[in-house]
Amino acid sequence: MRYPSVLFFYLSTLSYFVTFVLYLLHVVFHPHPRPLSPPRERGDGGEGATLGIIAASASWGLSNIAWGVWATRALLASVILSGAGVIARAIELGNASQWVKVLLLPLSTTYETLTFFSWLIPLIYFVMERKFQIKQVGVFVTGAAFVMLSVAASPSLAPNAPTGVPPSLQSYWLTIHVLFMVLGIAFFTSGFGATLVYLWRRYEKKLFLLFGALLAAIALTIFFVIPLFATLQPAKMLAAVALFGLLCAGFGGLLLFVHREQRPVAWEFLENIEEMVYRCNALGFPFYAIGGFVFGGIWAEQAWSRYWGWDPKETAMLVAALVYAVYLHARLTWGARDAGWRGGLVAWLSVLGYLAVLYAWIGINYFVSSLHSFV
Amino acid sequence: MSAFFREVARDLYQFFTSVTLAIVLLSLIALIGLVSTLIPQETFTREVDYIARYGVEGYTLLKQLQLTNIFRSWYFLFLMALFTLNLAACTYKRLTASWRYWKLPMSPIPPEGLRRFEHARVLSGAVAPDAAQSIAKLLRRHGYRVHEYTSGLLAEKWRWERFGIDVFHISLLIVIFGGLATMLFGYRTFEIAHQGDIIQIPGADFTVRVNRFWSENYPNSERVMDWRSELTVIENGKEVLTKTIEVNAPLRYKGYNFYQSAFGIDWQGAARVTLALSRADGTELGEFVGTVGEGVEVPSEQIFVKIGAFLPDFALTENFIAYSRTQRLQNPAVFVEVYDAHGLRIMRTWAFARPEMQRFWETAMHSVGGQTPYTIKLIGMTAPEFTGLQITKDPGRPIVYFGFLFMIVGMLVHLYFKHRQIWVAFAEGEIIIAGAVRNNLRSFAEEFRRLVEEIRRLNVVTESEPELVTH
Repeated sequence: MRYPSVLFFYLSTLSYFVTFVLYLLHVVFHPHPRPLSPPRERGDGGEGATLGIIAASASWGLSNIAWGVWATRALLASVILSGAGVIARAIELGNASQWVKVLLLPLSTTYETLTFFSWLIPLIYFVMERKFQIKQVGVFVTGAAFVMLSVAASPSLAPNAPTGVPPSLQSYWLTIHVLFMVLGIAFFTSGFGATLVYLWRRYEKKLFLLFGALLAAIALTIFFVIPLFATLQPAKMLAAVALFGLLCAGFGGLLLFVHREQRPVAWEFLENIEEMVYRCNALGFPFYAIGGFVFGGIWAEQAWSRYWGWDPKETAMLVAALVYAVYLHARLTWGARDAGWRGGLVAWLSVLGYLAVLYAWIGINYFVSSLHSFV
Repeated sequence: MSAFFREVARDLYQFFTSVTLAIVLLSLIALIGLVSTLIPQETFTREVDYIARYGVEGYTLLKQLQLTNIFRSWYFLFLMALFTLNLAACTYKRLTASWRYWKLPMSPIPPEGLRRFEHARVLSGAVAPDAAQSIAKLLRRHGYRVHEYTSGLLAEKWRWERFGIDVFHISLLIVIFGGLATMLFGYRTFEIAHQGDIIQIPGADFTVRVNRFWSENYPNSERVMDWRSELTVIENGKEVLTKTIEVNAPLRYKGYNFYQSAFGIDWQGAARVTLALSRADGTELGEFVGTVGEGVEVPSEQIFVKIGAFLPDFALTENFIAYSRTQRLQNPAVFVEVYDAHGLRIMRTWAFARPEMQRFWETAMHSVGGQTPYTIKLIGMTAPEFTGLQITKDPGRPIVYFGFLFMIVGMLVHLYFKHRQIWVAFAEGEIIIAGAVRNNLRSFAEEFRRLVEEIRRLNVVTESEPELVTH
């Protein structure tokens, strides 16, 4: 095979699917996340403590198999496989680009970005899983990696032969700026996965209702509010604004209603997951913000002659960073004192922030042409 | 009267230092940012593209609402001015608070108070006489600064991190200030240059000559690897410096920067076209070559053909404004005017290179009743390559970089260092240990538990035998 990276990515697609199934089995047979456990001493647990629950019983039964342990091992194998793919792709891209100037991370096209993420996001999650011992998040993370690799393998996206990078990307700032951005997004993704687990435990089946309502609100915004606004007739624009207000109020009302129904006792068991959400977001934020504002600014000054030009992608990134900044403030002020805040507004801010990140990362490419139109 | 002004000043100060104002402003800025990503902005969109997308009426409305240039609109600038004031006021308020906090030493808290702390433990038993020293030693090993007083210990670490958020806020002000300096005293222009052109820069005591420019492709590929321009700086008639610039590698000289920012074929500015003329009755008059903006004499007919404009990719908006959809040669068209010997215009028309467009245009003209004395066809065109140079002067650059440095330091300090304080009080038959951390960081509970465990293992407290209860 001429391009070994393609082979590695195919193998890791399969491997992520297997990992996804293992995590799913873990969640089905060991549904309860570890409650705020009695504190352990660091370093005295050995393999058993760091890798989760070891099946104690010898009896045969699906629920007695330590699915989580196997899932983690499969995750590690998948990460190694896709890591090999990323390294191979970096070498191929370097060859295609005549090794211009500097080592380039394979991040110059959508295909490369997706495959890179399918390595980085599970890697970051693996580290977080070891630290927090919460395996439920793995379902989301490996599922996302599988979907990303599948999308990358679609014929429209996959230029299997790497092409040389355009002149505007030939800079070591590509490596620094984009690496920081994707690290930020990878941490946010783990945080979002943990938020999903948290919200699921918090609302159980009502979460479907809430997410359904949220998705419906977003779909209505995209298919009705924006086109109505874009007609640019004052009456219809007003109607669009009113409709948008109604949608926001409707979702907020539903949220408040569900909140009132909830027994507050259950939250206390979820502190560990909530801590993981906070840590992921607090780790991701400086990468995202410094990578975007500072390193992006320095590079933009070198390539485009200005630090900040209100380019759509820059602006969308600013919006996402602002939402996460509000999340961190809310979490550190009200959330630190009150479990109700942590479970309520703060968790939903984390969801909103991740949606904004997705918009800045992928969504924006479909709305406006931008200087950042390579990825 | 002065009391009135003092009251107004106090109200203003309270208004601008409120966190609510900051949150409202940030949300509004985020909202405007979101809108700007949905409506293309003037800086990278041409008028004709707006009209093609929204129609004339829609475009007029957008323009009235200043939505096409939202970041220069009065409401956005007003928001930014408010935000800067808010930021400055909050920074001042926070900084004075941080300074007061820095100056305020930790003070002993009576044991009853310590017991009520969220993180508090009591070790009961006989307290060893050297307990204070050994606990202090342990805390110092953990990086705490320890102060001993008669009946207890005060320990803390990372008190300086309280300034992290101030450094971050100041960095934002520095970056805004640097951007303002660039806006007010900077200079920015875009120049299209051909080979040998000498660029004059207003206010600079040197000129720049474009020696040559070229592009390189990747081997065996159509993909561009590099656009380069070789520039020479000429000062007082002497060549001072020659540098080949490319994207990502500008020339910087005496505070001026020269960026390689465009490269292509200068169709609209300098196309050289070949026209075929014939009389309306079909008599061929021959081929003529001319450049855009200039004209061609046709001596046999005593007419002058003026070449008004060249569009490489002709298209019409809904209100019939001709524009070039792209810069690629897809539907080339040239606008020509014909003048007679007295200088009177006798006809004007578009001439096309694509035959079906030419036929369509002629039919359309005929149907509206235009009868032209000549037929003009576009049969050939060439244009020189050009290099596009972005030239800037950026006095705010060092200030902005300084702000970036502050921003990184401030953010890292604020997020990853949290001021910790430990109180140890020795009472009759017990030691009370209490701790506090900024923002009540929850992982501190575990850290505090481990610390107390280590103190317990020092064996400075001998637990007394359970007393026998006798009746």
